[in-house]
Amino acid sequence: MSVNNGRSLTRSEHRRHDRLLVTRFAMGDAYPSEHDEASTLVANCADCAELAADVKLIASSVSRVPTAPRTRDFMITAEQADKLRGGRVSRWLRSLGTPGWAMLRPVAGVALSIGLVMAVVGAGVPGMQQAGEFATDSNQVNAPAAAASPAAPPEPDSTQPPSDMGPVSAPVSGNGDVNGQEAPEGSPLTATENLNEAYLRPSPEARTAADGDGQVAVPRVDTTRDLLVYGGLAIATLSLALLALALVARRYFADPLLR
Amino acid sequence: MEEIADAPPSDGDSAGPTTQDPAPALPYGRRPQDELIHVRDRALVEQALGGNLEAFNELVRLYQDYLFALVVRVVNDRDSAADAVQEAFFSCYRNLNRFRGDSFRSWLTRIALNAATDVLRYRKRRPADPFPEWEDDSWQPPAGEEASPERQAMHRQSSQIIASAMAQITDDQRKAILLFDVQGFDYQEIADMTGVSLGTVKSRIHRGRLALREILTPDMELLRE
Repeated sequence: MSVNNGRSLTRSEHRRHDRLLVTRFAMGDAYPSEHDEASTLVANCADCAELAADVKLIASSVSRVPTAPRTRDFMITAEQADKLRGGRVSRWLRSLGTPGWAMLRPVAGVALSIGLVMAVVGAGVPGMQQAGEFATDSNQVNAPAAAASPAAPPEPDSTQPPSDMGPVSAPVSGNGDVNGQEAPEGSPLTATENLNEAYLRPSPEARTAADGDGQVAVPRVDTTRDLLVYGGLAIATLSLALLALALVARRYFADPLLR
Repeated sequence: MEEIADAPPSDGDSAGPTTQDPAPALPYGRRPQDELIHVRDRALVEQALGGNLEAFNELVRLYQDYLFALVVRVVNDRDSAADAVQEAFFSCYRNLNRFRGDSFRSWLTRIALNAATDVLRYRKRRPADPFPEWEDDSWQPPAGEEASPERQAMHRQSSQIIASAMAQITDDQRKAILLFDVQGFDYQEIADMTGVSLGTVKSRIHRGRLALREILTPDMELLRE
């Protein structure tokens, strides 16, 4: 910026001057590095000098503008106070919007995710279940007779069916070769699939046999799995309830003026 | 407590942007009388939290004039300003337990400015009557008894010109200028109240002043007299 000596700058040149800088300089808010430039402008440009003087005048004039007196008294009556305080529940819900509860929603969100993951893992993702079945097949290869026997209870295993399943009858191929890939006549299922099907849906004979010989089927409660499923569902439900509560508190009880 | 409670309202008591008394034990820019006011306010808040409605109404008595004067300048309408101030005191009472800062005045001002902002937003959605106060001649600013009629008329005219110009700048600029030039808050306090950065506050104030000067250019002669 070139500034001539003396106040000889024309109005068109003034338009190129940094008027915001002059304004800040006039109110003492210019940075030290800008002082030289601003003071040169004010000293050499008549319009800038006038601007600086006007800004100071405006700042002082604004504070002198009188305001209208208040039109009413704003004191609170006892009835209003009771109404404003609200009931115990509304006070508690209002407090959910305070900074002290700011972590509620993120924590509930994380807990919801954890609960859902627990429940899904516990119930068994279909892909994982299939993988588990194939893993079981390899075990059963080593003990085909035991696995194929209708009366033999399956080994406790996380991939086993629920506890009340009891003995099963697996419609495997006649020689009990569960590893054989031959399916029974007319059946589109492989031997492995038949075995799994039998676990899942025991035949009525198998049920009767189990009930008839007086042997109570040993419940194979997979506590880990139950813990995952029911614990996960409980956590997810609780988290959802907390999230809903936070939403209601925020939507209906938070004070918009405290934003 | 009594002698503190009888202290004048803090309107205008706050340290201005340029004047600071040396007070090494106090926070930057804080004057001893400000500290007394804060102590008084905190005591009243404590009493109000304990269920003493009279203590809260004492706070209302102390701040209602200041708050109304600020809000009426922001919204330019006495009825809307009165509603906003009433809402601000209601909100303040409802949420008194959330007061954490050391300046009750700043906290209350922030609530009132939010209420004023809501009024302005509502008015923007329904712009049929943007500034009803300009049509209202029922109140005129008082003039000193010693002032001549010509002087009174001139003062009234210049006040109306400035008020009209203030109504033409942006809401944010107007709020910042009022808080700084009229109410005497410093930049940091305004930044805290309005939730923007220090640089934004300064920018709003300076750009607002520049805008005021552009608007007032034809009338500057009147202001200079």
